Amino acid sequence: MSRTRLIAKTIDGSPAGADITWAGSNPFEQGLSFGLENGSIVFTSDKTGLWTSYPQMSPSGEAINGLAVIGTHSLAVSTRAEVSFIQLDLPKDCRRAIFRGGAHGVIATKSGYFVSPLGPAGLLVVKPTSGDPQPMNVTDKNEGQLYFSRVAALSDNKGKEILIFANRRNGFGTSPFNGDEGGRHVHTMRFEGIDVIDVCAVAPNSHAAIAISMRAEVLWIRDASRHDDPLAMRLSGVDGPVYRVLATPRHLFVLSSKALYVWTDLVEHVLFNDKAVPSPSPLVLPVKAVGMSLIRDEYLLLVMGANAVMSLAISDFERESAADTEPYSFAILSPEMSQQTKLENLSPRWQFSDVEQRLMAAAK
Amino acid sequence: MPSVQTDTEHAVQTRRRGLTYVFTPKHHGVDQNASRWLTGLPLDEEFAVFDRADGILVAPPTDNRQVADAAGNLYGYEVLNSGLQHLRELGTWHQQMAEFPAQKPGAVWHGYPIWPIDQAIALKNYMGQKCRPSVEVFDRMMLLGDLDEGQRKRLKSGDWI
Repeated sequence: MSRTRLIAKTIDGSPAGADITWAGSNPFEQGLSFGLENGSIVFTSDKTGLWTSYPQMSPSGEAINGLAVIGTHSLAVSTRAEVSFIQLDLPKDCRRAIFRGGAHGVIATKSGYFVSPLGPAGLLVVKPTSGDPQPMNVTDKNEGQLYFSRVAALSDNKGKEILIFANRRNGFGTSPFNGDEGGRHVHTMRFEGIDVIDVCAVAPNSHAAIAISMRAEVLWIRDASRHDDPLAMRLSGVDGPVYRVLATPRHLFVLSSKALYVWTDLVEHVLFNDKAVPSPSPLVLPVKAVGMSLIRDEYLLLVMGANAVMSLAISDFERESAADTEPYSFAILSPEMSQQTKLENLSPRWQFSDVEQRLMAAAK
Repeated sequence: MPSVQTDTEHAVQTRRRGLTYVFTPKHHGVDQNASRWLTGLPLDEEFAVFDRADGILVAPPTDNRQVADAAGNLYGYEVLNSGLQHLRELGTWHQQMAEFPAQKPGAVWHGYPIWPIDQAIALKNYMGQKCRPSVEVFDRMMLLGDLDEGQRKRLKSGDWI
C-alpha cells in the first residue's frame, strides 16, 4: 500500500477561509459536508464538484460541532453556544428556530427526532415540524444527575429505538426512545474510575453499541435494550486521551490525541461472531486529529488540528491487515506504536443506577 | 456539606496586581445549580488558578501571562505536564477552566469553573450571561504556549482536552 493510496484525499483549508471543525457526509447528495469555526457550513457535491457555502448557520458565529438532517427539509446544526434548527421548506424569515444553549453535537433518530447532548443540562429533543414555533423539549432539573457528552441512536429491524449516552463518570446510559413523551428512564452502568466520553452504534438494525472511556477502556454492548453487563477491555498502550470511537460491523476505530488506532475485524469477533479472527495488533496512524466521522462505512474522515481533513479508505486498512500483505509497507503507519498497544480483558465490578428524567418545553 | 460556609477572603493577594480573592459558598456546594469547584481541590490551589489568570510577570524580558477577555474577565486553568488530560479538571461537571468576572478597582474577586458549552438557558440563575469563554481566550492560551492548534480547536468546539 502506498502512502498516497491510504491518504485518498487531503483537503487543505476550506473554501470559506475558516478552519474546519467538523466533517461528515453530505446528507442531501453524494459528497461531504464541513462545519467551520466561524459558524458556517459547506456542502460539496461529488456530481458537480461544486462547494456550496451557507454562512452564519450559527447565529453566534461559534465553531460547528455537529450537523444532522431529517428527510430533505430539516437540518440541525450545533455549537457550544446554541443549536439551530432549519426548516428548508419554510419562508426564509421563519425557517430557523434556535435553542440558546450549547451542545456537544446533534444526531437524528430514525423516527425523525433531533437529539442533542447538553452536558450537565441533559438532552434536547426536537421533532422538526413545518409549524411555527418549533417545539423543543429539554431535560427538566438534570443538574446534579447525569452529564451527557455524547449520544447515539440505535434502531432494530422492528423500529424499536434505544438511545445510548456517554455519561462520563456515570459510565454509559441507555434509554428506550419513544419520541418526545414526558420523560425517560436512563439506566447507567459504570465501574470505579471509568470516565466514558463517547459512544457509537455498530450496525444498522441493531441495538449493539460501543462505549469508550478517556483511558481507552472499551465497553462492548451486545444489546442496549437489555441491561446485561457489557464486555470490557482495555486498549492498553493507547497514547494520549481518547477523543472518539467509531465502528463498522467489522472494525473498530479509536482516535486519541496522538493517533488513530484501527482494529480490523475486532467488532465482528466480539459482538457478532466469535469465529472471526481479529488482527492481534492495531494499525496505528500517528496523526494529530481532533475528530472523525464515518462515511457510508467506506471512509473515515479525520478533522485535523491544522486546517485540513484527511480521508482514509477503510478497504485500505483491510488490505493492510490481510495476512498475505507485507506488514507496514508504507511509512505513515507506526509499527512501534502498534506493538505497544495490547487488548486486555477486564472483569470490573459493575455498578448501575436508574434515573427518571422529565422533559419540559425549552425556552427559545 | 459545602466546603466554604461564608465568604472567605484569601490571605494572599495575586503576585502581579495584588488582587484580593474571596471563596464563595455558592460555588463550593451551597447552590447545587451553580457551577462548583471540585471538593478535592484545595483552596490554595483554587487561588493559584486565579493568580495565574491574573498573570505572572516573568523578567527578563517582562512577560505578562494574563489570560483575559475584552471585558477584563480573567480565565484560569492548570496545564498538566503528565497524566492523561492536558488541562486539570477544576469543576464538578468536568470543567477545565475557571472564570473570574471583572471587578471594579479595589473590589475583591471571586471565580467559578466555567463549562466548555453554554449553559445559560439550562441553568436559570445564569440567564443573560455568556457562560463560556470567548474564542480570544483560547487564542491567548495558544499564544502563551499552553495549547496547540488542535487543543484550541477542541475547546472552541466545546470539547474537553
